[in-house]
Amino acid sequence: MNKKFLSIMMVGIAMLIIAACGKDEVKPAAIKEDSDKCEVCNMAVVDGPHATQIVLEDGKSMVFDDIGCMYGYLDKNKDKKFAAEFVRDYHDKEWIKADKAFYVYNKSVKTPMAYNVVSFKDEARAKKFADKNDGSTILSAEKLEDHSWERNRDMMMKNKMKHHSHSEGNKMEDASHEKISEHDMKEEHKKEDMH
Amino acid sequence: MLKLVFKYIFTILVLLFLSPLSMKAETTLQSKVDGAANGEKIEIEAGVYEGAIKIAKSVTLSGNGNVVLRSCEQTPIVAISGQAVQLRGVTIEYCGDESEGAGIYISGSNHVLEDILVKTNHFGIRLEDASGIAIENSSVIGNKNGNGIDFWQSSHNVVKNVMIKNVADGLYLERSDDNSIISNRIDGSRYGIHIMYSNDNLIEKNTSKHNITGGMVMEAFGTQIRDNVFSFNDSNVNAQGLLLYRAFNSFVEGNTLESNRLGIFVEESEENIIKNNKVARNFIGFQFKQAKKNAAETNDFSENVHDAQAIDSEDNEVRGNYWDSAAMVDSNNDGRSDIPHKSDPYFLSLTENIPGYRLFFQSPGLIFLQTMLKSPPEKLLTDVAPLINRDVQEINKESGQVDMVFMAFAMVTVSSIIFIFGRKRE
Repeated sequence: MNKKFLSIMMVGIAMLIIAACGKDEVKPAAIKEDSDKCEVCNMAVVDGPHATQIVLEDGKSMVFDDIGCMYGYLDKNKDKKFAAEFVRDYHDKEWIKADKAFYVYNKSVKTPMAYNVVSFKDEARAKKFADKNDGSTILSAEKLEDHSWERNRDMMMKNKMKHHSHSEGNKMEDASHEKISEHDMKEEHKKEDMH
Repeated sequence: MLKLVFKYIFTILVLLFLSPLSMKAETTLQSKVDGAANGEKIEIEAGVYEGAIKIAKSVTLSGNGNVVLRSCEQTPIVAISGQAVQLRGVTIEYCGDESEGAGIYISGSNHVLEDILVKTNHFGIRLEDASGIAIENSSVIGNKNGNGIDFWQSSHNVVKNVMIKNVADGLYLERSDDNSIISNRIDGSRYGIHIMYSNDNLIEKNTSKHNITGGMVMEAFGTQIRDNVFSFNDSNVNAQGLLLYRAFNSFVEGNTLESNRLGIFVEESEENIIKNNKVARNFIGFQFKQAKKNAAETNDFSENVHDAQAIDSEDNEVRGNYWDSAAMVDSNNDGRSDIPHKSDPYFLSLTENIPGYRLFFQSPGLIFLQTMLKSPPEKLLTDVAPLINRDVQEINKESGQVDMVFMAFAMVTVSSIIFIFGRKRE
């Protein structure tokens, strides 16, 4: 009798442990600099504030080197289900759930893929950074959904694309493209020291 | 006793005389620069100079003997701005911990740096809003923390004959156009040459070996990549010779991509021409991923574990390449095979998610499966008219035939001798 009771107890405890494990919070994986590469752009992922990741339902995780790359991936895979998405605090690199974080978009912030968005664990930190750096826009997680992810040089690239496709086009047209590009460059010159 | 004291004093004097005397750069060099007129030449005497200097006028500084400028401060050791500054024959040692710190910082135009050795804990040389700069016959040795030569919004510059070792990216160009990167050598770094949001740059005759990636061209138009060697980039799981990611109108010609994990990888890129390259002894020779309207012709693909693979790619023109693994028939003697060569990525796609299957490489069962379950046609990379010969192969084949005849003759002779003499003894 005693033995039976004990075995039932054991089974009960084991089930409890399993149940507890199952309910475990989704945890981000650590960045392995020598083997992790961005799912989207193929670049090595630096274990720094710009690294992001998506944890899949089977516990595996996909890493990205820039917040923009992760949102690009999410946009292309809307039908897929994921366990969680994580970004990092710009200052202490703590992993934060992407929907709980606050973001700052500033054209002059250098990020690995030049999406120019950085993340913070609370609004106060985001605000402090935005106050320090002119031209910043604070974005909540919901607002980030509508962010265009336009990169600094996208304008120039588009002009260049036209320029190249009319490779034999007339010179006037080429010159006008150059002018736009130069104007863009000047715009970009007005950058603040971010450090 | 007196002799002994004298000896001690003498030794101390000699030691004092021989030990490198360190001088303050601010008081010695900076004051010389400040006092110089435009166009003046300043010779720096041999020695170690501590601290940072700024050069904002057109002067020439050249080291006479072993000149070392050293600093662990936040600011770069030599900050060059203005126009036509020349710096020659000095060693720069940046030992600071500032993550954006650099040995040399350059802005302005038409400066020349020659015969410079930069040893750095972070960045080597940084160019910001600089143009017409020439950096030649120099070296950068880093600590893997920063880029060797870093371009930011800097166009029309030349980097030639520079050896770069042990840095993050050997040469990193962002928003920098029309630069010429010629005959440099990059080893033991993250990416050898990394182009990003930069257009119309020339990458020629460089050697990039033992890096994670030899050359990386991202978000760029009109990059010319000619006669470079991107080899032995194989020690990282993501290693590759050359990556084109969102690269457009590039011209990749005459390069050697040998013994990399992946030879050439072209992703989301359009209208690039890949011609006359030698792609040999890589794990995967060539890979297209979501790439369109690119042309690959007269390349030599030899001894790669997997020739080529195409994923979600269309309208690419692959024609007239040499594939050592291709089955070839040339009935009309035009030097092109009548049978299109198809690279089937079956094994590769099988092992992508479960790497353990690599154990079955070339196993009969797997080859059987591959012929049974062919990959869908859109996944195949097809060369419509593969080359029958390549010049090098031709010579090898001839000598191979001579060897074969000789071997056969030798074997017949040896076996007849054994046969004849063996019988006699009986």
